[in-house]
Amino acid sequence: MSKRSTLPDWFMLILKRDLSLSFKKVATFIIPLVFFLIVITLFPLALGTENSLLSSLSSGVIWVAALLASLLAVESIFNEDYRDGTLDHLLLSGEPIFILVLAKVLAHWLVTGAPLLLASLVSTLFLFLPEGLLFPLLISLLMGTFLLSLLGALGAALTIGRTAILSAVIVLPLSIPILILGVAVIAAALSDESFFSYLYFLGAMLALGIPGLCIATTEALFINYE
Amino acid sequence: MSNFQVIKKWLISMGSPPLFFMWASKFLSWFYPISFLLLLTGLIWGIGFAPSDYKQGEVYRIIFIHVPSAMLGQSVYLMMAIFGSICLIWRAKLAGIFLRSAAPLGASFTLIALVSGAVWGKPTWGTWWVWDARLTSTLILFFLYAGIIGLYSSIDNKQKGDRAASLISVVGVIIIPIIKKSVDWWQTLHQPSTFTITSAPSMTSDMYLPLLICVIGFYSILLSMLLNRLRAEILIRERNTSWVQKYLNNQVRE
Amino acid sequence: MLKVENLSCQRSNDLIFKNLSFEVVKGENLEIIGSNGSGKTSLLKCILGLIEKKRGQISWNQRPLEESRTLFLKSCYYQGHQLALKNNFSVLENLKFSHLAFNADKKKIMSSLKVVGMAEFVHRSCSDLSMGQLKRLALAKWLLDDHELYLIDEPFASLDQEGIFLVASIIQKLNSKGCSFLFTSHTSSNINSKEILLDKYS
Repeated sequence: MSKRSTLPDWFMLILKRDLSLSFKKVATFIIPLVFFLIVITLFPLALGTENSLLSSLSSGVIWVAALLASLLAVESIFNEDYRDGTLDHLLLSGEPIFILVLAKVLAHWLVTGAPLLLASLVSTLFLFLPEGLLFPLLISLLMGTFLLSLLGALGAALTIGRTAILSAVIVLPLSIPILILGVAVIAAALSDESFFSYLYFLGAMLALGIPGLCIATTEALFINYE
Repeated sequence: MSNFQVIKKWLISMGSPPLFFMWASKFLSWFYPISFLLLLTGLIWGIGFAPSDYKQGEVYRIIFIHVPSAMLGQSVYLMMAIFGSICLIWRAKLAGIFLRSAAPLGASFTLIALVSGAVWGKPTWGTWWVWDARLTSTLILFFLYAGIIGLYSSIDNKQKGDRAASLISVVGVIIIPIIKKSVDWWQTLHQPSTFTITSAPSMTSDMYLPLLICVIGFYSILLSMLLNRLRAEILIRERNTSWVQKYLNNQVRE
Repeated sequence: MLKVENLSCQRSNDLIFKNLSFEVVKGENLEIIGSNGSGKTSLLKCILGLIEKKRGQISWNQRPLEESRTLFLKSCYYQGHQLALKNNFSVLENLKFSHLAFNADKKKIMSSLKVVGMAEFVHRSCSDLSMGQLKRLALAKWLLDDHELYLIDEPFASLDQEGIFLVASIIQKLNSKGCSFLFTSHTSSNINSKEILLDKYS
């Protein structure tokens, strides 16, 4: 080997690779976004269009829809690579798999999470989100969806090649704290409290979750080869 | 040999399926009936003979089922996480099999706790269900169990299933305190009058003693059922080995 | 280089092979011949650390494999039954986004493609290529970087005469550069190599 590959090289390679793959298929951007909007739409259809009702439910419904969309979208993060043998290739490269997982989750989140944030803007119109809650909603979703993608990646690694619903059942109970915290940010803003303390909590979960979940996902990937 | 070395040797021998199977079979032959007796004693004493509570009347007797079941549901998950980490770190075969044996038991006890909690709630507070912190956490625990059971039963390769279940139970046990804290806190947001539907009445020793016996009885019956399920799973896994064939032949002959 | 001593491996409670010992020396090849189910793929996966070995010792450059796994993985190349190519990528992208391309610039990629005869398809999407062309692209990945040891699972499976000749010539070329091959197959191939019959070790 004439040049030793460095950690940033490996990270950027995987990031660029996964982003290039996603850009070739426009569906990867659009489908999670549309799923999110469909779920949002179901609520007025089911509960009626009374402004005050929808308004009071809005932050919770948007968060639940974002939760479901994130978890279901991240299913495919390992499946295709597993099917064509590319995952074997990457796992046997000798490079740190922890970084591989982080790069893949980041690439996935950039492609699905960012459109989700845009879609949540639209959903604030659909559900009549009260004034002044837009910023707390967006920032809580920004941090929360990344954490959810990480959790979802763990579920995806455990259930490679099997149904998405199994992964959802495994991961959804574990994502309940994220949901509670995320909605708390918005609720605090609604009652004019400072919501920053809850953001700090989300930040703490990110700080612990990123290393912890990436390590767990790495282990889960290797378990698939028994 | 020193005592410590004897214990260590016994522990290592317990890792071997045939030795564990033989030990468990012998142990269960006398322990199973005792645990059953303990459980029966506790339940009959508590439900039949303990004095009635001055606040809740006769209904509180469900506590003799509800409290031990809830304790068991949580203990089993903790044990699964401990044995799960043993399975992941040291690749102990039996530790992995433990998860398959324990998970349905834990799920069942959690379910019993949920149902008994609901049964308690109806006459006492008029509703079958209330979103208090304890019940909600127990419900989430049940979902966690369901996920683990779904995971390992969807994987054909048994060793792989064990390891996957071990990983998720270890991750779960780390996240469970976070879940509990957030649910507790969530409940204070939405229900300022913090009463728990399953708060235990202040108990005299007349009530406390049968409850203790119930708890011991439940744990004993859990141990018995666990060991029995382990034995069954060992037989299934090792069905092609000579010692299993010999054992089964002996059983048929008897 | 790679030394295996008394290796035993099991799959769902059955021993697939036991007490297997061999050594792969620099510049020489080793061929593992076995029938279906004799454990050829499991042997490779065991060496690579994907499967736990039941018993035995594997050492890489005189050090136990457990200590030097990362170094070992970085110096070896594995190809399994799947080609590890993404259909949505073009030929160039498949090579560019492989970690093997850390040390390969555009020139090296083009020369690898030329050796396998795929240079004219450099911007063609892989979904438009035939199976034979895809196999040649997989071969091009062998040449992107210098690897001391190549672990290939059935390199000659379902190849025509021309394909077999291409693989053999590449193996020969890499041998002369000091690389070794450990590969599996159903029957003895004409490659200059030591042979081990895996069925004898079950």
